[in-house]
Amino acid sequence: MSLIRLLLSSTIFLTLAIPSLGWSKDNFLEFGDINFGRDFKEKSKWLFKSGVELINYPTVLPEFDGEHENIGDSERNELNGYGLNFGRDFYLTNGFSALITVGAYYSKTLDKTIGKAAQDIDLDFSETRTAHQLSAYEAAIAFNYIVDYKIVDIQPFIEVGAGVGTAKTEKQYKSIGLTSVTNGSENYDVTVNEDFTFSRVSLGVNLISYKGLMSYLKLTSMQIAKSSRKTEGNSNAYQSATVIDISSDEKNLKESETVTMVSVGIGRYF
Amino acid sequence: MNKFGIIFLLFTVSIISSCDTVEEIFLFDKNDPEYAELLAMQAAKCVSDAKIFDALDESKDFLNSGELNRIYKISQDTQNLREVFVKITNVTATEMELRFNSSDDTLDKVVTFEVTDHEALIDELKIVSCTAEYSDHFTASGLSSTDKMTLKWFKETIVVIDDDDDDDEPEKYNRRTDTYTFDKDLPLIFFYYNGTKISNVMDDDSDDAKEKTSTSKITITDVTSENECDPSEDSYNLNCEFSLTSPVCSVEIKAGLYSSNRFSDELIDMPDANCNLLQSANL
Repeated sequence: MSLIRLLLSSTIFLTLAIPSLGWSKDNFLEFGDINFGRDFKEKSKWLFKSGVELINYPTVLPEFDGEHENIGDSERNELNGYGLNFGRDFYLTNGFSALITVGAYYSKTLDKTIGKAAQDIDLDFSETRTAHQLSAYEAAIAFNYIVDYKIVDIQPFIEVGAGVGTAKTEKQYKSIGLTSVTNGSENYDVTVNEDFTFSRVSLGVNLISYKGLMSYLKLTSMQIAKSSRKTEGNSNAYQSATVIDISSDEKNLKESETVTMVSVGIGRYF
Repeated sequence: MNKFGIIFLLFTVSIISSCDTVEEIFLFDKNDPEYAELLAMQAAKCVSDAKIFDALDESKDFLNSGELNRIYKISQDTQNLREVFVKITNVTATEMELRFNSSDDTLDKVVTFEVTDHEALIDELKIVSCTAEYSDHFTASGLSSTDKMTLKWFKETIVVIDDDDDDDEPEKYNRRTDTYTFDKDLPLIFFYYNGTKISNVMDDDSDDAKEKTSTSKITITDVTSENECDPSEDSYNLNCEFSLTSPVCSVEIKAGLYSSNRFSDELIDMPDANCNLLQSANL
């Protein structure tokens, strides 16, 4: 669902943004007259870009088997966030260039599922709340090749990068339970903090219009190595009066996961 | 702001709008054995969440209500078709005596409103306001208020059912929506004199027939300090004289009317002889 929303909002954004790329009425949409290729193609230049990034992040939570919610020990969650990158593109030769960037990614999402008793009974019987916060910092190098067209320049690239990050996941589930059931209510409230390092390889394409304004699409395969995990929380199972502490502190983890990421965004060469 | 700034702003808005999701799912349906219990739980939660019931419950302290010797005027409809004056002439911990006086002698009476009536009325109010099963007939608003709430009671008599299946509407019908206001600053029985009744009648099944709508409004105001209840004033109204001692009337709270469509049904009744409730005009 969030992927659809991400793509929809990105499409709306790009639809709105691309016709606005002209800086003044005089040269509005006149991409061919003041072409990026002519001004920048064979020069080194700086780049600032920002985008929406969708990552399929693996979350590890203590298991819980509830009446209306099952929480597995390993789940993939789609997180969408915001990425910023800044770097310099070094011109090599014959349309080839190398782009070195540093960047940051930040995501904060909240998903809530309210379990209504029934369609015609306005009673919130259960509620599941999942909050993710992910931040990461990286350095990357991309190898680009520019194809100079009159309207827009197309620049495919391959990029490799590495960095560090932290992830925080909060999962809360509660169910009020039927009054006829002794200890029928359920509760699960857990916060997990993880530290990780990652390396990645990406394939993408830049669409560059006049004066260096650009948009990009990028697919990434990322290898995440989790180094520590701290879990805090408790749970109260169905028909149990006992609240169980499920906190733990795991250091020197050697968990490795491959995740995928999709990025779209805009930027500017200058 | 230049265009790059506008683009950046649009971009940020699009990101923010894509971040959070709220989804609703339904856990049970009507065929589940838990359904009846869930209905009861929903009603109980509605009652416990509502602040107005506690506020109305506080006014059952008749002795400290400050109502003794207060005088109210009940006015029926904008044309003031009938006026009734009411004075609280006696108050004890368990009951309140109200004397009704009007130019229409059939409405004169001495009413005893007991604390148990007050409590029973609130119990009925909780049931009709918070039970999903009765939502076809009753709609409550102001449950989170701490001073007043309104209750709508929808009543319907179908005279001729829909015979052409063109709109699912009966060919002839009488409908009425009674709206009552329960105000914690008034004796609770005055809800009956604080509201509106709207009648919608379709008594002609021809194609060009139109529904007839009529409205009856009853209001109650505190006239304790008004000239019309001050014997020394020229504008003194003789109906503000409360020497009558009969008929003596008790109040009955009508329970179990939750699915009633009868226009004559009300939440209260005065079953004793010659104890007439003010009926709505123009309906």
